[in-house]
Amino acid sequence: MSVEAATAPFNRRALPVVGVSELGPYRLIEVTDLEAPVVRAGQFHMLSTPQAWDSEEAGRPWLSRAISFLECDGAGRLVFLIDPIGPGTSALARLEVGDELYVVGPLGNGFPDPDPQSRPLLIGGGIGLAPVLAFADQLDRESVEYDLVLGFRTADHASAVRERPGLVLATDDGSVGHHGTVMGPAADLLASGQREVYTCGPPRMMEAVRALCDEAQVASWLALESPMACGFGACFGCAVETKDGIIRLCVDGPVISGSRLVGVSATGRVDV
Amino acid sequence: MSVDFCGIELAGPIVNASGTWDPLAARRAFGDSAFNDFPIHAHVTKTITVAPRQGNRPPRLWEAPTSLINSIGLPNKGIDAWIEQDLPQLRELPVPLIVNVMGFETSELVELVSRVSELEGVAAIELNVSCPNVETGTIIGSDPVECARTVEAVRPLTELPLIVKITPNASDPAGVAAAAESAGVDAICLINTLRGMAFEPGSDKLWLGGGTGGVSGPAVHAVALSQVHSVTSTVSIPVIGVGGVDCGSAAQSMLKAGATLVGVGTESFRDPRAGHRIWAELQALR
Ligand SMILES: Cc1cc2nc3c(=O)[nH]c(=O)nc-3n(C[C@H](O)[C@H](O)[C@H](O)COP(=O)(O)O)c2cc1C
Ligand code: FES
Repeated sequence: MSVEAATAPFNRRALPVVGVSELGPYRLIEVTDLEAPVVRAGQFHMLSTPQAWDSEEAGRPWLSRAISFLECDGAGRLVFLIDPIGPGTSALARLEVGDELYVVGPLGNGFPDPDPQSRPLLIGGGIGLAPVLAFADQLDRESVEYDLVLGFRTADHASAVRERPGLVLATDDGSVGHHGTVMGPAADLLASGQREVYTCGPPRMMEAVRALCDEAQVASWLALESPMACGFGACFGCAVETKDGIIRLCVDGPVISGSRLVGVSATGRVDV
Repeated sequence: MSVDFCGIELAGPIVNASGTWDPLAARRAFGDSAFNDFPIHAHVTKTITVAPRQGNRPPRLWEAPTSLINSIGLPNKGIDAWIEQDLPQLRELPVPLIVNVMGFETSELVELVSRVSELEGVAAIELNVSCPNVETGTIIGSDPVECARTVEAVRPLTELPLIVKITPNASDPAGVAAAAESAGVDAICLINTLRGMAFEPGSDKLWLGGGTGGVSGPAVHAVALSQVHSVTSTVSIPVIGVGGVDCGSAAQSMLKAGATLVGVGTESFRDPRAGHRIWAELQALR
């Protein structure tokens, strides 16, 4: 059974945080969301917290941050992986069990179902591993076989993923797995049969993946990032340039076919 | 609790600020409840122009303390496509529809007002005059004479209530409002965003794709209040008070400053039900 992209309950709800843990340099936050238990991999939620967001002291963070989930069991367990890179993500990473998380979502389209003729190749980089692993879990549940390549800066970052059958790891410093970026292993796998590529990661990595797939004439699906103020089409702030004009990434994405893009722009820094 | 605004009956005083709520996108994200359980008492469309516009290049957003700086650049599909694709769906909204339009020259505004005026299901027209006039180069809404001339050109074209949305980036917003009133508008809406900008961190480059942008959110609320107060003290037509309203007490302040309706903008980005919440909080305060 494939998972449909879910429409969100029409609200911002406060969910109690039921679990937190460190995962390498990242922070895991687990909540229980019984109002919208089923989420398609690649969809995202707008997250904020009553404590940090409504405290008038610093005035920031003030807008919610768009975060794609890492795990969702379909029964309400929802897990986010946070890379504390700015005021919003740092405030999220400070959450403790018993605190509340404000959630709007799930939003956006999510990764499409793979073409049954091809073997999906999943490529993730850094914090982009979250929607990619969520998609791998979704494919596991649907008994679809795939290949998975994940790239990190260091072994510390790579420690965020547990062992999985068929997982290929790459690190920039060679401290674990293949020494170098994901592109080496990805290119080898791409050449080994009928493929369709699903990816999320830093803009430079996604651009390399897009260009590689474009040249090899392989379909690619990119979960892009763009600064978002709302997440549901109200602000027109999440503009992404495509071959047929500027789109709102939150409602027309965040997953976009590589064939629609001239390139992946690097202006997508989302928590400055 | 119903409110009369230029002869239009609203179930309450809360409207959205133009460009901060898209009912059709909200229906895609949240399903039909975003329509049926509509969060505000009248819907104001995002600014519509004659020709389609892509808007500014990204990045378009910058978060500053309790505020947002945007350089969206008025993307919209243009009046033809809006009438054909969006209006039939917007007619299904359970609240009155106010159409916000902008022209880069008077002839464009003339075309927009006369066409929108003919459409079924439109309750009022709001003129966004925060743009430069391509003929004279001045921002129409920052100059009383130019604003009056613009209103005079379109006033005879419609019997619908005409609202002028004026900019806070003027030396004398109350003077502009008074000129618009003399020229025959039915209501004033303020404030639009305050001009602002931001640098890319660690660089001397401007962050926003449009160079400068407009500041909105609670950080501008005090400015909005004083401008609304000065306009309501000057004119006798109703005023829509907009700017940094994020809770019932901020809405109450707008009413104290003399506003008839209260516009909620950026707060809806943080909480899609902000309109509902602010109305409930306001009623609890009364
Ligand atoms: C993202 C964004 C887009 C906007 N687009 C428009 C627009 O198309 N037309 C318009 O008249 N005002 C536009 N505005 C201005 C708002 O209607 C409002 O005047 C301003 O944001 C102040 O209210 P707030 O502080 O509640 O947001 C926009 C504001 C924002 C933040
Ligand atoms: S984030 Fe507001 S329109 Fe996409």
